[in-house]
Amino acid sequence: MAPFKDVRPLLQQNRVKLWLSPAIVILSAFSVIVLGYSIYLSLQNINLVKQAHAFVGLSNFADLLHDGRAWSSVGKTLKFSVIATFVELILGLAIALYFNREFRGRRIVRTLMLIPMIMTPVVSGLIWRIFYDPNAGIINYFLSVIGLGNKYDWLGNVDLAMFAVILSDVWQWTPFVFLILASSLDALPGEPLEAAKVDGATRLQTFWHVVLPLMKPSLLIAFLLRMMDSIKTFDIIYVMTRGGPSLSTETTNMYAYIQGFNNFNISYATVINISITIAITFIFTFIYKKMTSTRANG
Amino acid sequence: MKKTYTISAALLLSMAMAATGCGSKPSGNASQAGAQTGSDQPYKGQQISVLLEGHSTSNSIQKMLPDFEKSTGIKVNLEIVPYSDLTSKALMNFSSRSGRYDIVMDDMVHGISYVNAGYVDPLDSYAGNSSLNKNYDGADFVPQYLKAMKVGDKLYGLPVYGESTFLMYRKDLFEKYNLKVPTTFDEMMNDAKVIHDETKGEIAGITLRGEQGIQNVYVWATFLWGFGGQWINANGKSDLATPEAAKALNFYKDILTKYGPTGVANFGWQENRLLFQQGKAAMTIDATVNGAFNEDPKESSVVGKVGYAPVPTQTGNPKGGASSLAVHGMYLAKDSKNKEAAWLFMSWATSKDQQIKSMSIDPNSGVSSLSAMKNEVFLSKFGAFKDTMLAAIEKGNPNYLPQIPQANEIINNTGVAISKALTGHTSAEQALKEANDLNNKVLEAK
Amino acid sequence: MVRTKTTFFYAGAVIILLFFLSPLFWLVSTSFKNYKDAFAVPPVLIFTPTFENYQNVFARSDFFAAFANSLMISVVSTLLCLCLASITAYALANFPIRKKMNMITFILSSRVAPPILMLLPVYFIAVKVGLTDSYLLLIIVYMLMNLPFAILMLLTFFEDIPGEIREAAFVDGCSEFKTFLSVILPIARGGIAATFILSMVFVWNEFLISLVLAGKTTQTLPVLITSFMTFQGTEWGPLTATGTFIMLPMLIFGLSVQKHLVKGMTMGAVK
Repeated sequence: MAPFKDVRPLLQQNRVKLWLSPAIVILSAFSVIVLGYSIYLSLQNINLVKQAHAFVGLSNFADLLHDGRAWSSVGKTLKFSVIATFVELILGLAIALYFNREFRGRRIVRTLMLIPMIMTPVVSGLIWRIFYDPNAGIINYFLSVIGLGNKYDWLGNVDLAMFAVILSDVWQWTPFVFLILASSLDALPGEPLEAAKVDGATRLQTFWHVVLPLMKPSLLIAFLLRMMDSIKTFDIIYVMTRGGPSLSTETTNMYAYIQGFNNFNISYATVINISITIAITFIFTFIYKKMTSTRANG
Repeated sequence: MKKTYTISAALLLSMAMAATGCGSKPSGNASQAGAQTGSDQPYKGQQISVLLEGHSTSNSIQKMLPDFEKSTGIKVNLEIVPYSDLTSKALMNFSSRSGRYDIVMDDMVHGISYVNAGYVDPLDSYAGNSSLNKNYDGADFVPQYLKAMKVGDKLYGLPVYGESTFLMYRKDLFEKYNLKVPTTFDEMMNDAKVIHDETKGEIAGITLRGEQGIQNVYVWATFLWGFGGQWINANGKSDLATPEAAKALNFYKDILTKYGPTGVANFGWQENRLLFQQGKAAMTIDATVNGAFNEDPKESSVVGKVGYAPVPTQTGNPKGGASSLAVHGMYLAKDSKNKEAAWLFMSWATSKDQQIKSMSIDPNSGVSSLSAMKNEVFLSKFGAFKDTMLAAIEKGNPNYLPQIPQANEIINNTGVAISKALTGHTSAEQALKEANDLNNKVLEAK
Repeated sequence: MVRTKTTFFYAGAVIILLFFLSPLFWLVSTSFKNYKDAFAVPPVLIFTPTFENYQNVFARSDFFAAFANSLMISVVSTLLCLCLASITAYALANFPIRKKMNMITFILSSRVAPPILMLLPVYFIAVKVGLTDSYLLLIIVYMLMNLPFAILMLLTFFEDIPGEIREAAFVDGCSEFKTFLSVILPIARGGIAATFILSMVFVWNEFLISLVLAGKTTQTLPVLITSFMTFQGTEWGPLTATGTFIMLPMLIFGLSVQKHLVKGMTMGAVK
């Protein structure tokens, strides 16, 4: 398809520009302004409780390198994103396979699974906080009903708190993975499956050697999107633990928020933000390029 | 071709403007309009913007506001935001000289920052001006509250509500197990132990806030002062790497891990209060406002069973009182364009009459007016703890939390340390040393 | 035998749905409960519903203002965003563009940045140009936040439309813009609706940006909700009532374009 074969190239280029420019110009202008201003802020020592501030060069960045709390938050962010993403992928896949058959209410199930994504995160975070309450919460109540004890200190225990926060992220975003994978399963071509059946493959073999490879692109995209968004998670952590106890759930986002909006160290918060953004952009551009190239090849 | 871009951009922009239907809004440009109208409404037509904290007093002010607007002709825009986001919002506006808020309500710890950075104006000239002070009655405020609004000898804020901390204990349980109301921390440990052991852990001996940040710091400071510690020493250095502070933190950790409830490390004000009012703990030290929740039959199952007492202390010679003094007041922005109108509003909102009226709208035990405290509603709702509360306020330590501009950062660092010790992550001494170093860094970066 | 298997299947389905729907169930039921029922252990399933919480919320003057603000800001910003995005996506889908991949990567990368990064600069700039507490500011910011996502999502829908359709329109004498407007857009309306909903859900639920940039006149519902979380405790009644109310429109919209939503969320990577 070459719709513009006959048009003079110059005119065509202009036309392309005209169509593309509004969004691209606005988006680039916004990025440049935000980044420019952020860099300006990052080179000062602005704290809102003081009126005066001065140019301090790169010393904020140097401070960041020696900031143990910042490094700890990087670790927590990775822990949160990686575990949450993998649990969501596995659970989402399992549920998609479970529902991958004809049954009454198929549409309703998919519809209901949308709900966690649509709920306001601030509200669902609060609800989970109540569910997790060790004394009045519903989770410990049910555990005690089925005889598993009732003294789990979900959000107050350093080892459990991260797990508990992850679980609520899993609750919110597994449906997303499920919906992607379910529609990918719907679209699987029939022939390879038939062929496998003819060859006498077991269900597990069919799944492992036929279905899974066919689903690879959707699994990859689900992985990428969840990784990207889970790093940005803020609302639920803010509401559930505020990064505690003893920093066990303090992600970089949360730490930047505390530096900026609690300690009012505007410059330092900006430095944290810039550093994270650069790091994430690098990693994801890399993964994305890799993925798109494998897709093009495969 | 360039032209096309400009045109399309302009088009888009105008589309946006038309779609939103909003150019600029009037802000404080109506001042001359009101000047000529009748002398009873000299500020008619002026607009002021007020940033309030989400709180029952703010609800009352919101409901009573039409009276004020009608009688003065001043248009008041109230914006109510949660306490946790209030200060950052105010500071961002103040520091960028936006003039967006004429009045900001906040607690005195942050008030110090505002004063120090020159964001707010002293109020003495208004309070002393006979044409403006008909609503202002300095003698009607709880004296400690009004004093907390002063920096040096200048008055910077009008107190809206305040509180202190006290010990709440279950009279029925103390009687049953033949216990004495503790006056020292050792006695408190013992009482907590007896109740915990006797009820086989069914009822926690004590519950306190453990959530990292202002939550745990607000209660732990009682122990810091009570064991003879302090935040900042005479040389302006952080004073947390001391044996007193370590004793306070070790005690906090011990009593909570041994006799406290499950989940205490993530307890904020709310969780702590709920547990106590559900009858699942025998003691707690917390804000005096909790008394109102304990005595509210709609929420509480311990109505009438709670005794109130001053917080215990360990040393007879503390460096400062061990009960808090927290006052939230209204501050007048330096960049306000309608200061007289703003003053009229703040003196009206905190006046005796309005506070008495608020008792029948959304009563709260923290009212700053002595007359409101004599009101029937106040006495019937809060009578059970009124006297202990007033005593606690009288002894309340204005330096209970550090009263310096960088207080938030120091509180945050210390909150992490308390959390670390409480969860067994780090020893109390080590955690405090880390916090002490960080705090000193903050104090040096003046 | 078959029947037991089916029964087991449905039992499993119920358990899965219970997990994912329990917060919603709690939210809605609590909004109809009085305080003591709400926090009773074990949870109270049968109770006398009270409408008090809703009455309280509806009686607040700022509730409807916030609702109107949320509606206005999310609808207008999403509409604007979609206008821009559809033009761009159309061009990306149909025109031969050099370095198309780079352009898409650029658009994608602006989605990676955490919103908190742009919050401070935008705020300070807004103060300098006098745009604080204005609808315009929030609308522009949300439009920009959604733009990358909307472009990429629409791109996948436009790419699905066979090139022949567009060429046929040219043969009929349609101009490029007319083709876009009256041929392509109607064909892609399902996808556009889904993009609209997803972008709008984001604005509708967004908390942090609105908290910092909105003011008294532009306060949105999620911010109003947090004002029920006060220094002296959370007012669960009004909070759950507002929480239920805030979710309803999105739920209805979302369900109505459910089919296209899935595809849109994955940016069409799943084919």
